[in-house]
Amino acid sequence: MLEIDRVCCAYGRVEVLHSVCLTVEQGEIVTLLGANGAGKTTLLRAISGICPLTGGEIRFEGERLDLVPPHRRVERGIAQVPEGRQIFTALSVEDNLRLGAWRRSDGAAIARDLARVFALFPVLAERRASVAGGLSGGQQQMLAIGRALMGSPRLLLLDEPSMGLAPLLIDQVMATIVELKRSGLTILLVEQNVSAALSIADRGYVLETGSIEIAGRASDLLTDPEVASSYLGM
Amino acid sequence: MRASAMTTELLQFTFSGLTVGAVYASVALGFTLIYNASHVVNLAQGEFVMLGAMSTVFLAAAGLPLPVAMILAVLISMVAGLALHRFAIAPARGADPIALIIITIGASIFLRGLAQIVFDKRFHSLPPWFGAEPIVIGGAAVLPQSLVVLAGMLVVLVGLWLFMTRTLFGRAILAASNNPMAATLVGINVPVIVAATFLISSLLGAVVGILVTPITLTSYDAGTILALKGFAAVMLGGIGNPPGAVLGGLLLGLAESFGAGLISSQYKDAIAFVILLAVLLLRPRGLLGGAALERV
Ligand SMILES: Nc1ncnc2c1ncn2[C@@H]1O[C@H](COP(=O)(O)OP(=O)(O)OP(=O)(O)O)[C@@H](O)[C@H]1O
Ligand SMILES: [Mg+2]
Repeated sequence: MLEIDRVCCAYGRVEVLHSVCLTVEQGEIVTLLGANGAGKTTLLRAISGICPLTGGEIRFEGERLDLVPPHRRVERGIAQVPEGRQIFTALSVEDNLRLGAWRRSDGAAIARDLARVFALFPVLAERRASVAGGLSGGQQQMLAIGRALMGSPRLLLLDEPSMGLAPLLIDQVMATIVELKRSGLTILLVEQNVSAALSIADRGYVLETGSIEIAGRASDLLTDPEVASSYLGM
Repeated sequence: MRASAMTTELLQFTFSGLTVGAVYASVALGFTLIYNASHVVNLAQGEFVMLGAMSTVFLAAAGLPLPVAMILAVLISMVAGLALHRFAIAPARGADPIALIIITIGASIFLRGLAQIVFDKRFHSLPPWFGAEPIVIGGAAVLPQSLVVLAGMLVVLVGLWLFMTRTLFGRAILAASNNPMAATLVGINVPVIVAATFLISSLLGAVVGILVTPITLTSYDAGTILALKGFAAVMLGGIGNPPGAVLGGLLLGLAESFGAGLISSQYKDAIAFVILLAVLLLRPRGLLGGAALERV
């Protein structure tokens, strides 16, 4: 479904992704792991077009994605839940969700998706008229996921959705991700919470300073001594 | 008797202060819209006011009916707004704030020069909408046109507020101002939104410029001082804060009017700058609070 092919990215003249290759198949949860500053966020930004490529290409459903302008990638079927949530703090919860559907014009389907998001996260329905900046961290994370879902994506990119959340909430977010997979969504999940991510993923990649160092089935990675020693604290 | 004469006088100052204040408020609001969406401090904002007023004068002089001249003039100002974005701001994307400010100063000098050539260097007025006979309100003599300016400003404010809060496009503008990266992620074309703020700001400036010309007159260089006053109003209200911009504009108008009436009209323009300095020193985030202006 998604093919990252020898992708390079740079901030200014500093290259932070060096010829990264990664694929995501339809219906999978793939997790991208790695230490701080490895380049995980940058890779998601490259997929969404926020960071332009300096080399390589990205294909989505067989077509070149990196040639599509950033603001038109949602309608291709890719939505991102960015690192740090990045909700529209000054707008209401409902406005955040409606803007998630900015590129769509199918009113009835938008209404259906809004109802679906409210069913998935009832607290958002309760607080639909509140200013989003006033939500708690966990609620903001739900809003960020809800907003991405409102774009009606086929591929969902999640950047550290567990960051800053209490353990109970982390479990809840992971359960939601599994539920989304069951509903037919394909997921690329960036996480620092390695055990949580590997426990729900089908496959995983480990990025180290801009290069993929380890790749494999999630169950294998969980028992991989190298992964265990560097990321699971064993 | 003395007391009531005093009250009348104060009422008089209030009306004239609010009228001029409405113009400052429109310029300040235009500043704020553009600043929020793009972090550009557009010092050419006053030229939109001038272009609206001067174009109306000359289109009317060319024989067009006044209402048609006004509408065309607003459109001319909006074209200038779009052109400013398209040819001066958009190509400089990613430039540092000081460079962008210099670009807008350059654009303002250019528009002023163009106006001097296309129009002329004289002062012009427009006929007031409902005659020049003052209406007496509470003993104060008020020009009917003052009421037109205030009503026009109110209509524009309510219209803008409804647009921003009730339409998805308006909320997209707010979203792009609030978080441009997230806006791009949901599919909002942020450069188009920024262009839209230039369009709205030029509309705002032109409308108020046309309404106030029967009272204040206009000339090719009327925009310069308005941009400075508008900027002072923005600082007074708190940069990036739309209600603050309107409040700042009205307060500045009132301060000038009372200062001129009670102290001396010689110092009218100085008042804006004294206020600007005082705010920068005492309350750098403005009365209603806003982002601190980025140190450049
Ligand atoms: N906007 C930026 N400008 C310049 N350098 C950046 C920028 N964002 C990230 N970097 C650098 O690029 C490298 C990769 O950063 P990135 O944010 O992609 O890492 P990450 O794997 O997501 O880290 P984390 O786990 O902390 O989120 C880091 O060295 C970082 O310092
Ligand atoms: Mg990151």
